[in-house]
Amino acid sequence: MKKPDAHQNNPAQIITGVPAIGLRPANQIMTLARMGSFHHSRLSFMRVLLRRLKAENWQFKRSRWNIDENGVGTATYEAIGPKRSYTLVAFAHDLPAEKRSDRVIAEAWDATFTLHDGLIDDSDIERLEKNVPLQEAGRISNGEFVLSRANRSVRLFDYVRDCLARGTQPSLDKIEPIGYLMRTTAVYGSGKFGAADRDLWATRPEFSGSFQPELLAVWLIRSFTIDIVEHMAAAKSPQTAVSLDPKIRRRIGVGNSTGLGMAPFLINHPSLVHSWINARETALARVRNLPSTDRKGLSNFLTLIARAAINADEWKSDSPYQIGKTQALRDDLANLGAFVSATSADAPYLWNRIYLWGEANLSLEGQEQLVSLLLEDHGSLIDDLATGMAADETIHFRIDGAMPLSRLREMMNTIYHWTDKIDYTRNDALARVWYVSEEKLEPRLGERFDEPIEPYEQPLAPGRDAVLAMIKIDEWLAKNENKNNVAQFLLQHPEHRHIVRRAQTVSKLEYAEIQDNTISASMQPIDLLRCKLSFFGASKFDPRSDRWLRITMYQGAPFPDELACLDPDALCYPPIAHSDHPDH
Amino acid sequence: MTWSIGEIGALATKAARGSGLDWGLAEEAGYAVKWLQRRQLPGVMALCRYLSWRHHGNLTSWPDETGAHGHYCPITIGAAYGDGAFGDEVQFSRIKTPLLLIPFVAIRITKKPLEINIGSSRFYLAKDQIGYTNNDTAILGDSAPCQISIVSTSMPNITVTIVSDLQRVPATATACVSVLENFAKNTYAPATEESRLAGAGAGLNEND
Repeated sequence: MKKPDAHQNNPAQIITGVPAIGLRPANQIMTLARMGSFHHSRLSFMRVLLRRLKAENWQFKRSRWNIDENGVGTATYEAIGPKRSYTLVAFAHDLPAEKRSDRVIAEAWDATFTLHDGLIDDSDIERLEKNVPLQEAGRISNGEFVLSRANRSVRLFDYVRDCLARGTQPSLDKIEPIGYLMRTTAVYGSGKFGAADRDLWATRPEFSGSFQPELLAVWLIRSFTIDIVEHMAAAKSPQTAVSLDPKIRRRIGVGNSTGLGMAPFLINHPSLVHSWINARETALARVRNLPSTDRKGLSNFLTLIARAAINADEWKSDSPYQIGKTQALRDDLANLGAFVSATSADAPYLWNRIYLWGEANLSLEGQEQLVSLLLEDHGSLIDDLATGMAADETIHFRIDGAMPLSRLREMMNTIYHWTDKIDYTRNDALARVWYVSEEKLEPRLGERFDEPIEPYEQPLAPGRDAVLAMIKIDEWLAKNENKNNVAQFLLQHPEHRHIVRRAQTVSKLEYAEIQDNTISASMQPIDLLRCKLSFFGASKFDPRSDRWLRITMYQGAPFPDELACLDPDALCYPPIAHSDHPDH
Repeated sequence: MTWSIGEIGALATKAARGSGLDWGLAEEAGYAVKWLQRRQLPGVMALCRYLSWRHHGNLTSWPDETGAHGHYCPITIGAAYGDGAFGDEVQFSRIKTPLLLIPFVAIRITKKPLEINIGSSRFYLAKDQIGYTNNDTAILGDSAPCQISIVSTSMPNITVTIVSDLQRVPATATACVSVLENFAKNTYAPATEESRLAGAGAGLNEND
């Protein structure tokens, strides 16, 4: 791998005590291969949510459980905060096995959900019962923030139910590699299908940051998945059935199956992506700039590496792409552990030394795992950054038409310098087309030269579009010396308007643009999914092809009835020994 | 049935693109419809009418020096006005569905309010304020000459609509939403057996 340019990380400077360690440059970070190697961290949105709920002493209650012996009915879960409350409404269905599908094109699910604003009455439940089970074909209202659904894991649900029905606990060896009883196959928010616009709740402190209503819903869905499996076990064998042991229960998260629907998000929301990555990079720089640590800090870090190694060992995938990456990660963590063990806690700028060693010696997967581990024990130093992980995208929408066109051209040259190494006249550089399918209104990826889809192309290739615009701007500047501003150019060339808007936006935001060809033959769409899901806080990425993957959310996290007495941040990696679970 | 502003904005963008506008202008159509609907003005109706007309209408581009009675696109002209292509004060001979022009005029408001004369209707725009006299929806949804000028004195004493971010698009827009959905369909690729499998990356066991 090409090393970054010799930037500010000069070891000589560090040794002489000048902590001039800046943020990692965008050209090092914003490649698909690296973004596709990101891991969850304490700035991930699930972690941010649970810290807030705990700090504010939110209370939780299963307020309805009207589920019959076949597992059909309605349940509600209340989250009661200092100022406002929310209710997860769950509809449990009896789904024939042949109808169970992870894909977004499914039309029926084992359970469907919505997050309601406030406590709910029966008339609202009646309204929602007519709509939520239909998902995209139904409508929710200003009173709902999230729409979701989930399917049972064929691999695990019945096994856990049967164990509990017999009066035994399921084996952690069976649970760990899967990590969930049910998988959500979509979690919609922000105005979708009639839900409230983001503007309605964006200023509520409990939802500051990104995707907080969606992740509150998922966390409550996790409780439902446990309740329904225990309920089904009791229905099967009321005399012998037992509940899940809390330590085993905690190793069960919520699965998620994610396809290309999520992929364009990172391209379509550059200012938001910048806010996420900028927070993470700022956090890393803060840690690297710490001049010293102590033996306890170093010892804690070694324990963390060991726990991350357990996580890597338990990380199973059939994907050759991920198998190679995960194996490299296992080797990396072993080598990292050896390096850190041999390092003195007295070394100046220890965390930076470790980081630089990692940059020189680890795979991308290992380097980005190291970044997450370095952040882990420094909450007081970095947790404040979570509040900045959001963006008002409207402030970047307006085009600066008065900007001299020559200035825009210079700017684009700087932003899109990475396109110099891409030959857009070659078919392999243009091989893919992002389009939306008529059948399910979902983003898809097709082959430009094999399928009749080019007329439907979505604007998701900023590199190519920037190159086309720069060519046209050069022609214009050669011919129109007296019309040298962006407004005049765009009036005659509206076909470049979207990329000009983008260029002006990303020029102000270091980490807004992915510096890779998003339509090349070799592009891996799952890298886009992985990056976004790591910011959510997901783990155990399991690509099922190059276009969709399964993940686990909240595995190890406390349940609502445990939040007051457990530290969610202490539980995000597996414990050293499952029999010795840290009940902090 | 009502709609969130966000989903209507996304639909407007797709509908405009499906009607043939370039992506950057389609995004402007989404902006315009959201701006109007947030102020309880019929943005969905306006875009529905404009796109329906645009299909067969006599559209012209700036500057039209042919005298052939073509109509300017309110989104193309509006976006250019918002960019500052014409200066603050300008006159257009015929703008189709001129209600859609107003959100773009709002972009140029800095210190002084702006006045827009659309046929016999007159709109005033100041920061966070919109007012009008003789709000003639027939003209606003049809075609009219438009003149934009700076209000040199104070804002006139007129009705002011309070801007709210919490509006919904009401059920009265149902028919127009259907029209926009039809235009949006032009952006969707018809499925083939091959794309059903390959496009979403299926093929492995998806159910466990």
